[in-house]
Amino acid sequence: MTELGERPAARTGSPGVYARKATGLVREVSPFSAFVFNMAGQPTSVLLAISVFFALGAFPGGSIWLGFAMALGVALVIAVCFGLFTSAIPRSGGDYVLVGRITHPVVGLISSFFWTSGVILSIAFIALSFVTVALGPSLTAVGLVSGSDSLVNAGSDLATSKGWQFGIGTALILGSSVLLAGGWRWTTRIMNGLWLMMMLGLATVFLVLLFKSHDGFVNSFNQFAGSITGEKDSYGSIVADARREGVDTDPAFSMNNTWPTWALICSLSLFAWLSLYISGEVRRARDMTQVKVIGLASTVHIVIAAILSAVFFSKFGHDFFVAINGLNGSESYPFEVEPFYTFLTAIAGGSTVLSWWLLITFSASFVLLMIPNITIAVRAFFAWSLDGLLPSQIARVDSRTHAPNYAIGLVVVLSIAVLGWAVLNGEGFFSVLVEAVLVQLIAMILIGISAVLLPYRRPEAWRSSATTRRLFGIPVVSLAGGLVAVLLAGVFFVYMHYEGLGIDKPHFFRDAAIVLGAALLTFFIARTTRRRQGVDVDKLAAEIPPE
Amino acid sequence: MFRRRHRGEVTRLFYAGDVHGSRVCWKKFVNAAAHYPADALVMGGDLTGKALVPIVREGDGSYSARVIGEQRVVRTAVELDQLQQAISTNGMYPLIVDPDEAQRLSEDAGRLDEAFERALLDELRLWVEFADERLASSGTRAYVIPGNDDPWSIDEVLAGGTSVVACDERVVEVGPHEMVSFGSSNRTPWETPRELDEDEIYTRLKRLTDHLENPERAIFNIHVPPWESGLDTAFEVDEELRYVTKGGRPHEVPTGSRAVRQVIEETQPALSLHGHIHESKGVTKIGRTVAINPGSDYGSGHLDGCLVHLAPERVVNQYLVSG
Repeated sequence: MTELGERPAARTGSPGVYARKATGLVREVSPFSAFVFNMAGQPTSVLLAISVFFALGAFPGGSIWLGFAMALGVALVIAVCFGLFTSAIPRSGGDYVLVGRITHPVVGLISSFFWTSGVILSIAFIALSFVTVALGPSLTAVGLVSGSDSLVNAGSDLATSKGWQFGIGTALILGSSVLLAGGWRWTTRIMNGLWLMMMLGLATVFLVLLFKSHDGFVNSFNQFAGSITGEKDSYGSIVADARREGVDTDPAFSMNNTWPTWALICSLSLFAWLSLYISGEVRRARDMTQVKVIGLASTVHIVIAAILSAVFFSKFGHDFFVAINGLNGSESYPFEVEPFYTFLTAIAGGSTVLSWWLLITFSASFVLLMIPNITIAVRAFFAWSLDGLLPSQIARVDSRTHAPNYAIGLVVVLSIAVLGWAVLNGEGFFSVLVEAVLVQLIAMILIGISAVLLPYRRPEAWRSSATTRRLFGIPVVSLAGGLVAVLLAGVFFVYMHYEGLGIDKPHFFRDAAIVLGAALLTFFIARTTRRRQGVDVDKLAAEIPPE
Repeated sequence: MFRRRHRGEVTRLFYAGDVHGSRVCWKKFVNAAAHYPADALVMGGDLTGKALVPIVREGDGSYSARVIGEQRVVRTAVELDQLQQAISTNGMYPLIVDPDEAQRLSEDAGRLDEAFERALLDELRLWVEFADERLASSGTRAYVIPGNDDPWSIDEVLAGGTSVVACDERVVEVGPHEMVSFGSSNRTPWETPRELDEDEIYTRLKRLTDHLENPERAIFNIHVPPWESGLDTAFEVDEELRYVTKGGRPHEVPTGSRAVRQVIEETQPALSLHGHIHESKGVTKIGRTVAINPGSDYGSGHLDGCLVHLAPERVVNQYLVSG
C-alpha cells in the first residue's frame, strides 16, 4: 500500500515523479476532518463563553485585542513547528511518539503523562461544564426570555444539583466513548456535524447582533430585565452598580493586565494541533497538510472570536459588557444565569426559538470538545500498551470496528472517577483544573525542544520531511521548535506570576511531582517486568540503528 | 542453516513487510536481529518501490528534484547525497539525468520502464549485499519473499543471497518450526505483477501445507492477510481506481484472501504473519493461530514490525514495534 495521496496509477503522481503500477490505499481522516478535529479541541463558543470575558473584570485595562493577536502569533508558530515535526514522523500518538522517538522513551512517557493527566481532568471538566455552563444556564436563559418559571427552575436545578451533574456528565462521557467504540467513520461524521452546529450557532449570534443596533439592544435589555430588577433603566443601573462595586468600566490600557488576558485566551487557543494524535490516519500527513490544517484551525478560531468580541462590544456597549462581566458572581448581579453571549444574544433577539437554538448549538460545542479529548486519552493508553509499558490487553482492538475497547473502558472509568470527585469537591477540582493547562504546556514545551533536536537526532527523517529549508542557517523546524519552547515558557511564567489566574503554586508543584513520579514508576516497573520476559522496553520504542 | 541461541525453548522472530523500496527500512530490518535481538528475520514481501524520481542535472552545476511536493535544489556533492537519501527513505528511486534525458523519460514509456527496472534491481542487489555482510558473522538468516507488487525479475536477485534466504512457495525450517511462505496475493484492482485467483492460492498453499510434519508448530509467512480477519480492512475502489464512498465517506471492505483464511483454519499453525494492507495493523486469533499484520509506514523511515517469542507450539509474546 502507499502513503497518502500517492493514488495508484501508472506513471502519475507529483510532477517529476513516475509511479509504477502498485497497490495503494489512502488513510482514513481527510484534511477537512483533521481541521475539524483541531477546532473541536478548542471550540470558539467555549472560549467566548468561559474564558475571554472573565478577563474584563479580573484584569481591567488588559487588551483582549492584543491578547488575540499575540495568541494567534503563538498558535501559528506552533502550527509550523508541530506540522513540520509530524511530517517527518507522521504517526499517531502525538507528544508521546514525537518526544519519545527523538529524545528517550522515558521522556516521551513523562510528556505523555503530563498531557494525558491534563486531558483526563479536561474530560471531567467538559462533562461537568456541559451541565453547569451549557445546559443549566442555557435552560435558565430560555426560561427567562420566554417567561417560563418552570424552565428557569429546571435550569437552576440542573446547574446546582450534584445528582444531575454526575448523571448527565457520566452520560456524556459514556455516549462519547460508545461513539468512539463505533469506529472512526461514525466519530468523524458526528464530530463534523457537531462542529457545523457550533459554527451555525456562532453565525446566528453574528447575524442577530449585526441587524440589531446598540440602542435596540438597550431597549430589549431594559424591556427584558425590568420585570426582574424592577427598574426602568436596568441597563444603566447595571453599569452604575458595577462601578459602585469597584469595577472600572472604562479602564486605561494596561500592558501588565494584558499578559494575563493573553494567557487566558491562550488557555483555549493554543490547542488546534490535536490532529498530531491521529497523524497516522491523516491523509497527506507527509507534506505541508498538517501545517496548513493546524494554522487554518488556529486562525479561523481566533479571528472568529475576535470578530464576535468586536460585535459584542459594539452592540452590547463597552461599559455595559465590562460591567456585567465584572458584576457576575456578586450580590448585585440580578440574573440567575451568567452573562454569557448566548444569554445576551437571546435577549437581543427576544425570541424563544432563538433561545432554544442557541442552547442547542452552545451545548453541542461541549459534546464536540469531548471527542478529541477522549480520543487522545484513549490513544495515549493504547500507545503505552503497544510499547510494552502497560499490559498488552489494553492495546487489543475490536476486529470489526478497530476500536481499542479496553483502552476506551479504562479512560471511561478514570474520567468518571474524576468527575465524581469534581462534583463532590467543586472548589478543589477547579483549583486543580487550572493546573491542567500548565501540565499540558509542559508537554508542548517538550515537543518544541524535541523539534529543535529533530534535524540533529534524526537527520534522515528530517530530510524526508515536508521541508528542509533553513532560516539564518538553522532548520525551520528547529527554529520554530525553539520559539515554541520560549513562547510557551512565557505563557507558563504568566500563569505562575498572576495570582488572579488561579494557580496555587505549592499544590501545582506537588501535583506535577506526583505525575512525574507516576511516569517514572510506570516506566521502570514496565522495564523490569519486560526484562524478565526477555524484552528490553528501551529498544521496543527506540529506533533501530540503520547503519 | 539456522542457529538457535540458547534461551530455553523460545525462538525469537522479527517480522516486517512492505518496505517498498525504502533503503533505511531495509537496513533497519537487517539490523533488527542485533537490536532486539532476534534469532531469525522474516520479510513478508513488497520489497520494491513504486516511484522513480528524476534528479535533473542543471546547466549551472546544480541538481533539482521534486520531493514530497517540495522543489529542492542542491549544489554540493554532500547535498546531492542527502537528496538521494531523502528520496530513497520515502521508498522511491532517485535517478540522476540531464534535462534531455528527463524529457525523453517523460515521452517514452518503454524507456521509463527500463530505467525503473534497472533502478529497482540495482537497489535490491545493494540490499542483499548489505544483509549478507551484516548477518554473515551471526549466522542469523533473513527469510525473504516478494509480495504482489514486486516484479518477477527480483527473484533472481534474492536467490543470489547467502544470509538472505529466498523462500517464496517453499517450506523451510526456522529452528524447530517449519515455515510456509507465499508472496502472491488475491486479485486487486491494480493488476499488480503477482496476483492469483482464490482457488489457485488454495491449491498452491495446500500443496505446501501437505508437506508439514508438525502443522501445530508451523509458521505461515503469507503476504496477503486472511479474509475478514481485521488485518485486511481497506477502502473499496471501483474499476477506475476511484474510492467508493458511501454516506460521503470512503467505504471500508475486507480485502484479504478467503483461501488464506481457509488454509489457516484447516492447518491451525502456531503463527501466521501477514502484510499487504498497511493501515490494518493488528493482532488477532483464528482458532489457535495467532495472526499478525504489523502494518507499514515505510515512507517515514520507520520500520513497523513484530517481535514474536515463539515456544514450540504456541506464541508466548508478541510486540508490535516501530523502530
